[in-house]
Amino acid sequence: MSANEFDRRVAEKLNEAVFTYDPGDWEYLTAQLDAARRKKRAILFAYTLPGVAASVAILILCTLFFSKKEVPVIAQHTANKKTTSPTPAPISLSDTTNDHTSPNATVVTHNSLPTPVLFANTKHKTKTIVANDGHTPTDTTVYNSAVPAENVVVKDRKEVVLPPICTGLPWKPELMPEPEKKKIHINVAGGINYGTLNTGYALGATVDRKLGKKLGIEVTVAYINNSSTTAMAPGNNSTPPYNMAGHPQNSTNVSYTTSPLNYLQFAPVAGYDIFKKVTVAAGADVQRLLQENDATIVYKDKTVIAPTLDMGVLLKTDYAVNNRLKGGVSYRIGANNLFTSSNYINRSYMQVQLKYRLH
Amino acid sequence: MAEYAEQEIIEGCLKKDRIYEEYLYKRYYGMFLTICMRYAKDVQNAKQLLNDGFVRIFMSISKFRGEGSFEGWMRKIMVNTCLEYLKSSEFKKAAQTIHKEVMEEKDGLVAYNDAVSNIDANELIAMLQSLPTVTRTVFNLFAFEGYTHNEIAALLKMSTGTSHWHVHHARSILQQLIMKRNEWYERK
Repeated sequence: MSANEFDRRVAEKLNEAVFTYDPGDWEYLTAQLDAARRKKRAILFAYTLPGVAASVAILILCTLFFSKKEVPVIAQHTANKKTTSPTPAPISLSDTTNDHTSPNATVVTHNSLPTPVLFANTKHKTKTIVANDGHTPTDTTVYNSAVPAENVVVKDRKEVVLPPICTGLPWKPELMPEPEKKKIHINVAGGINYGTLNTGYALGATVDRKLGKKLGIEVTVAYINNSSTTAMAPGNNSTPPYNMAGHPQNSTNVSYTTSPLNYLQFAPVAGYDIFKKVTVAAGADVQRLLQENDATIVYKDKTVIAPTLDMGVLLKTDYAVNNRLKGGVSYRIGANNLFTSSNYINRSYMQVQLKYRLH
Repeated sequence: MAEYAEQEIIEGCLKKDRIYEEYLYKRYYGMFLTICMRYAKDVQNAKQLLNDGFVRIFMSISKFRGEGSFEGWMRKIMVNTCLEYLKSSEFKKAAQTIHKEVMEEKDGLVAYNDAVSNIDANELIAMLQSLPTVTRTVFNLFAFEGYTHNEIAALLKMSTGTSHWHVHHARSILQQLIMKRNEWYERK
């Protein structure tokens, strides 16, 4: 307890200490306090500024986005001018009276601005502002003053000088999104087929075109090869005889000839980008048998007809490996008997395909 | 100097009124400078800590919810300011030194208790300031702020044994200083 008593007495003694107030300390504190408050404000500002800036940026972008139908006309115009003429041609003014204008009208010689340019002078004189021939402007007051819009007349002339109202816009032309060009792409395509009477390969070309942001069409023209041969029923005089080992011809009493069924494919499909790189498509698949007449063939011990014009439905999905290369899987459903009751064979097969964009 | 009620001072400080801020500063100047003197090495250092503490008080006065006394709230800020200042790398290194042995209380401590009463407060502050930083801090927290050894150990990241050791070490040094001081006066 004596130890605690010692501590208590020390504490009591310390509390007896008297320190005289020093006004200098207060002065020092006020300086410190001001600095701390300024710092706090700066920190608050630093934290809120990015948020405010982001909000303003979003607001501007939204404004530009929703008004982009009107803006690109001027933006395109300005951009074109910039590329063709890095240094703007000076403007010369002449006080020649224009016959086509009313008094107090300013004539702007301009051929590419779609709308009248709303700038003119306060002198209310009829002036022709023409693109120059190398002279410096004699009167520049036209740029900084205003005249009623109805007094401004646009006159055609080949050479174009943009008035400052175009170049002094708050947005930059390069910020404007370029209107997406609906390009036609030409691709070479190749694939391997597996399915009813169609195990082989396919080689061809496709042409695709974007119709919208996600929608597009694609037309495929390809040669469909069958590596396997097909037993031909008698009467197929147009096909040359083939000798195939191991073919089921031996199991029947009819004498068969064999021949591959090769086709020329024409497949227009409509595609939709479900993801950035993944497209699904569906469409018709019309294939022409590369022989003159329908082929009567034996399939699963039945005699069926392979028509010269083979109809089907094509379902496919593509994955864009990069800008030029695409891989895809498609499935063809034969639809020869969809509208007729004929004994046509429905050729269905799956194809693994690679496409390379040439253009 | 005009007298203001505590609530009035708080409201004035919330409005950043310099009159109320200066009044608060003057009112607690002596009390808080004493606290700072106990933790600091010298007067200049103590005044620096005092002003740092007051800046904190004024900047965070809006956080005072009226729970507990205003003086206690300010005192806590002041002590924390001193502790944060002392938590330098040197302080941390020293605080990590483990002292397991517990010093025995010397006989005749009662005599020192009486001697304390005869010492001037400023002399005692000077004696406290001569203590090693960690020892002084632990002793301050234990003897004057009412912290337990467990709380000190948690606050200063040391063992409770080390906290014990520092308190005893502080007492021992203070007693020696008091003895030397008395001897000097006797000779004189």
